[in-house]
Amino acid sequence: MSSNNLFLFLFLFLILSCHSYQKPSESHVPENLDEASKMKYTQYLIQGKILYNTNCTHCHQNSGKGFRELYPALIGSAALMDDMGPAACLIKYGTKVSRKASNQNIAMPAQAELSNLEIAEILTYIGNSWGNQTGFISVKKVATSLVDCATH
Amino acid sequence: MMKKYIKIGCLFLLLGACSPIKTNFELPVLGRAEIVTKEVNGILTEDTIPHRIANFSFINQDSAIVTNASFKDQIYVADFFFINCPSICPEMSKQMYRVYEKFLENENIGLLSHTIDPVYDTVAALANYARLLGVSSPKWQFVTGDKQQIYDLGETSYMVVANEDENAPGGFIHSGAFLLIDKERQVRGVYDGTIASQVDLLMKDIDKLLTSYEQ
Repeated sequence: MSSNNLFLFLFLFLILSCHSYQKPSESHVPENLDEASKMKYTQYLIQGKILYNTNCTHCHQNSGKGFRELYPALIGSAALMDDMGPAACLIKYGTKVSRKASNQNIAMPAQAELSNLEIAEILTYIGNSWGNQTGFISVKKVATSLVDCATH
Repeated sequence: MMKKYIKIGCLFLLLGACSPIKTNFELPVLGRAEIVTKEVNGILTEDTIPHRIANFSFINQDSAIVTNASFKDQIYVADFFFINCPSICPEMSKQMYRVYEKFLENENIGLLSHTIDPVYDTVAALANYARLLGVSSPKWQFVTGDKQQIYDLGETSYMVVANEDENAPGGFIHSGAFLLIDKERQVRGVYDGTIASQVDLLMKDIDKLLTSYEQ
């Protein structure tokens, strides 16, 4: 095989291998999806994991287990899993803790720079990893939730 | 050509040889010693004053006053943090908690975390933080006090950055360093409190420093 052919072979091999996205091992993708949905789901999980590692792991840890009572666990939290809407608001705007009240949890900082897509990816990752199985969180769902953050 | 390889080989051998020897060294005393000239019996003499942690007085999470005297029979690990810190502090607290757990029963060691956001981190807020973390004084003291005193002590005594900076995440700029201080108020080690392997080294150095007091 000439070096040109070898190059072509490797090039094609790399391109083709890109198509088989590998979901993070701690994440779950439902079986009953069509190929396109499965791929989108997996893309959200992969991107969500990257964003989670950058923005969330300081406190909630790679394992999603949180740390002591300072930083809550994200695994099996009913409040979180029932409706991911409030969680979108939490990520975007943080928690407002009064400067006078001392008997509360630590405030969660706002991350206003995250786009709706990024929040959807993070929530899809959190909602479907470490045993959580909330299902896909769409950008639309995030956009709708962010409209009425004040009511949460 | 062969000679070159032998030379390089020798260099590597030397490099490798350094680490086992180094572990037997005493911990260094860090900081620049001050040389003072004074007159004794009409003769000018030079006196070397080693770098030491300056006098301080802060209030801890139980509203008790903490000064240098609180650590006169202890070595201690100091750091600078603030509760609403979005960046490195959570990891620092996690790593310091490892030190806390390891030396929980050892009365010769104390931990001292200074807030650099005393406006928000009141005594009550610090007490709440300690409660959520599940740690107690006097083993691990969280202290607040005069803002300028905290910044000055950080920068001149502990030789770390601690200050307000509106461009930094959370509004403060500070180092993630853990400082190991001996009973003579001298800095004996600086470790990155956000890196587990550095904190492993700190815990080894604590053992080493404690052993040096037993002899």
